[in-house]
Amino acid sequence: MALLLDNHQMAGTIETLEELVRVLDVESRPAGYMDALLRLSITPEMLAPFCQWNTRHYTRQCIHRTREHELILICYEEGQRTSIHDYDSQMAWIKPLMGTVQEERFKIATGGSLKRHGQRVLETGRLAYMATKSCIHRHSNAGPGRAVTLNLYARPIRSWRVYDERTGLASLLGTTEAGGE
Amino acid sequence: MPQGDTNVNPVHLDRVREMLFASAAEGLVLVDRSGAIRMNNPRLLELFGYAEGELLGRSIELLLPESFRHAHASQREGYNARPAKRHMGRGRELNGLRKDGTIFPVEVGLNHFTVDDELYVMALVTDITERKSAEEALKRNTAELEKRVEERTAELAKGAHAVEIAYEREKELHALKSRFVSMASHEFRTPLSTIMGSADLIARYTEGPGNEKVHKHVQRIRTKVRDLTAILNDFLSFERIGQGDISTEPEEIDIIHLCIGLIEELRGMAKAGQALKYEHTSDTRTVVLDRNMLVNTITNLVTNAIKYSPEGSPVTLRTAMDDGCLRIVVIDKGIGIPVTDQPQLFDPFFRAQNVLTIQGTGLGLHLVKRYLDLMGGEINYTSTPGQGSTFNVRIPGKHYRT
Ligand SMILES: [Fe+2]
Repeated sequence: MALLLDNHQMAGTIETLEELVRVLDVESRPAGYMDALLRLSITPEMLAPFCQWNTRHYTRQCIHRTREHELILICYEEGQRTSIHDYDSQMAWIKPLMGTVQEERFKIATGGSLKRHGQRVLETGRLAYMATKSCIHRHSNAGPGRAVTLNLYARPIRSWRVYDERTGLASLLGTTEAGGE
Repeated sequence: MPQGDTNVNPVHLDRVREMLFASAAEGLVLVDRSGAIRMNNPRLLELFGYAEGELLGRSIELLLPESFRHAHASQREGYNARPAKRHMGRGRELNGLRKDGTIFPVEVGLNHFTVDDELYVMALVTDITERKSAEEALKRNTAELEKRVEERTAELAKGAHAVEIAYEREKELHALKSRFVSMASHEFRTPLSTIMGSADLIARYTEGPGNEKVHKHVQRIRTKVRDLTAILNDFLSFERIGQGDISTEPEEIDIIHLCIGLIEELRGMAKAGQALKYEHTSDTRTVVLDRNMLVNTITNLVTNAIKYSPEGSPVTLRTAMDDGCLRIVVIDKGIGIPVTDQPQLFDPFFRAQNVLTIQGTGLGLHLVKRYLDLMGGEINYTSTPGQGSTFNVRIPGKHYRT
């Protein structure tokens, strides 16, 4: 299940990450999470101190975590992207705070290779929801320029699986795509 | 005292004396106060090369080399004035003069007695030519030996100095090498990182069908850049540990977060079809450790698992906090470690027989061991050639030694 929610104007805009954390800590219902994230509107200046950049790979920083949820800030330089992965967390909300991010969904086709079966573009300020359990996906900075997303996971991730983007997880027998000349 | 002694026949005793005189191994000569030879035994004649009776009445100085004669005559007078039983020429070399003019070394014992108020001096002359030459040889040998000891000592001193110089030089070279390795590694890393960034961008800009060849080559660039970066990192770490240039800064680390980040970074090294799986299996997820050492440890183990596994073969990283210790397990289904290579597995630059065609410095596991030593951790593994390896690491989370 995937939802893309409009950033509706509402009273009580949340302007800092600290404020967001305070709200999330008293709101452990999915609807509460969604409401808080929709209200979040943060300027690039307020965001800057939290960002970490690495020219070799995107970065992940934990902003806050409880037993129920964790808030991760993800910074992509131009061209950077996550692996094709899935994890054990049940729910995830993704909100680009800077730049544009592309989301791709994959599934394992018969024969073991990965097949892309959906994609969407997440603009700055939009909120996306993902039922993440066993949902194979990838996020990429759709560029140009940097991108930052704020991801809220409930519950916190405890396992992570990276799939090979060329062939997928399953056996390679019968495929010819692997490396080499 | 046995009584029998007094009953010996006096005539018989005279014959014994005669025999002793005649058969003595030393030369015997009897001289009167004037220095004239009054009696001698056959051995003396033999020593000096004279015939029977030839010496009787002649001066004792006849048997001395020319240069000693004058001094001898006056010494003899001194002796006559205060005769005593003694060795002659104590502290000096004594020589005899043969009739044929040859000179030979002698030892002379002197004794005196008086018969009818007449003083006689008896000299016992021993030819010490052989002893002398043995002594000479010994002296020569000793001198030779001393000379050799001296030479050897000088050589050793020279050697020690050379070793000192070589050691200093070695130290300088080592420092130079370290500086070079550090500098080169740092200087190479920045352009490599730029190459990698550009390769990633090329890949992104050429996505879609029809660009398979571009992607293949971009992938090769990425792989090689990663290999090179890993080599440089190994060298840098090895140098730093070797120099003791490692500072430990324990900090609270979220293990899951750290491992997901590492898995995401290391995915670029994975072979086609190789899935990387990470799971944390305990409720506690934080540990106090040096981040850099922990990152290096996990990175090296996962990198090895990827490198020594075939395409399509999964690699699993598992972590847990257990009784205050961080446990890390890295499992692969790769080529395994030959049993004969297992004892040297953690030695620096060691490479197992079955990985010689796979790129690597042989430093990875050595570095892991060194980091674990610094963190007070331990590592063990099980491996079956052809089936894979499992590495188990245990690091105490709080206790720390630098
Ligand atoms: Fe994700």
